Amino acid sequence: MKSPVQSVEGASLIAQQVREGRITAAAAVEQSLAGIAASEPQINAFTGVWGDEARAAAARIDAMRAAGENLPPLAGVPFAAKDLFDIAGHVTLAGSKINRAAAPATEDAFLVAKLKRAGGICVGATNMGEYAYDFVTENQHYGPTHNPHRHGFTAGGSSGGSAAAVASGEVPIALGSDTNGSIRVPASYCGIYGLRPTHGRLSRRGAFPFVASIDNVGPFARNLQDLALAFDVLQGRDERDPNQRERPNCLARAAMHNRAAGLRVARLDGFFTDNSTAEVRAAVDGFCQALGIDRTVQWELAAAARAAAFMISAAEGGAFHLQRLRHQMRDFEFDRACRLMAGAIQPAARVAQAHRFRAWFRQQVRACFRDVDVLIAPATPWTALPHGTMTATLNGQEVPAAATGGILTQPISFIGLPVICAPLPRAAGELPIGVQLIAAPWCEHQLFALAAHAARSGALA
Amino acid sequence: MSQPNNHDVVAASLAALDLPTDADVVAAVGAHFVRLSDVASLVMNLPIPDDVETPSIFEP
Repeated sequence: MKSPVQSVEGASLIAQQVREGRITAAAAVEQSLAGIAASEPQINAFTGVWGDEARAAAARIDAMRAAGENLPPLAGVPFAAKDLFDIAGHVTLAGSKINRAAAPATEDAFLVAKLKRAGGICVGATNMGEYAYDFVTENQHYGPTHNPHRHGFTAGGSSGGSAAAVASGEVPIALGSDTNGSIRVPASYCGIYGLRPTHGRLSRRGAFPFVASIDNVGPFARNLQDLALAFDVLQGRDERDPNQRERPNCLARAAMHNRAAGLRVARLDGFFTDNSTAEVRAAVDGFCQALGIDRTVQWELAAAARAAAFMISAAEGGAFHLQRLRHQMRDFEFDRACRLMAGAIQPAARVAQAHRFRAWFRQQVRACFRDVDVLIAPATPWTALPHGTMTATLNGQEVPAAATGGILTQPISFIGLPVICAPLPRAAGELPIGVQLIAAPWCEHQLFALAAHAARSGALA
Repeated sequence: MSQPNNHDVVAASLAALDLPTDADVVAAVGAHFVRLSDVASLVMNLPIPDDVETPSIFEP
């Protein structure tokens, strides 16, 4: 399909051009809005586009430059936010029909405010799976988001709108959330970069919850430089988020210049290889061969980790939505409501055991990182599937297609590790596939160093 | 005494939480509950040591 993507510059370049006066912020915003107008009939990435607000914000940036003021790092860069981040003056839908009745947000979510303070210009909110319990973004209330690489195929979920908006070139960067893979799955299917930072790194304040003990947030971008720029801007202490940890910031752009030669890198084998199609295995083989990665590591309890993440997500999600399920169950997508209710009625001992297992599994994986700095694994078991695919064959078994999209992401996010999902090289006409680069907690700098090395080596798209 | 079937267990559990118990809901929730139970079997029999404690806020 014809896409405006390639004609819209990346965030770093836009900001540089605005700073140097080669383009105005107003022009950058108009280009983004024009791209949205052209692409949305095919992609359906947005649930709200706010052109007038974006134009007013751009005018403020241009006035700053005209006055000779120093411009912030994202000056004039259009961005979008998954429609679970509060944006002042707008209702946070979280992909639901129910939330339409909520009052508009009175302040921006912490990360939205961070991007705006850095000069970013919010052009709208993006489509998502209802209440973020989803890997496909086939939203029944707002329609499915289509993969920019192939119409009628999933963009992944639940942050599918953000990923599609970035991949289609509607915006250079976007915000997503990732509980079980909701940044990494759509990044893989759409062929872009996505970052799920260490659990507790970024403030979640103002992001509509799903699973309080696992939820995380992060950026999408079309190139690593933009991902690093966004991550550098998004970090910062938020005294109002009890989940956030006080840690020194990761300097992501600087880390891209670190030497990767000394990093100890291994491929996650076993569960992660068994649950990949031959096409995905071959793509990851190519990545490992290009970087000379011949060591493998196995997590013997990866299947149990995925299972425990599944149980905790269902239980906490079900409990969180209990009032809505009691009184407005028929306003949910029916199957999603039933999944949440099944989670809510799980025996308490199961959920407690899943949390105890989480602590135990964390200990085991932490030990693994004594000998390894970065682990490599495919992000998704397959490339994007057509909308409505109910089952697929994986590892010799017929499995539910939508839920299994996160089989390779869940065991990792379950224990809060930082992950960059990066696009692998593909031949013309092939759908994208992403690879996960995984580090020990608080070691995002190692991910950016390795990803930069891989990009320079041609091991990434 | 006869064992309650899955439908009864699901309906009673939903009722205990004041959740809807319409027939179509109980059937659909029951299917998901069975799937969750299958998944849970991977975790419930693991030999987790007694000294493993769950932090009140998860630490990565």
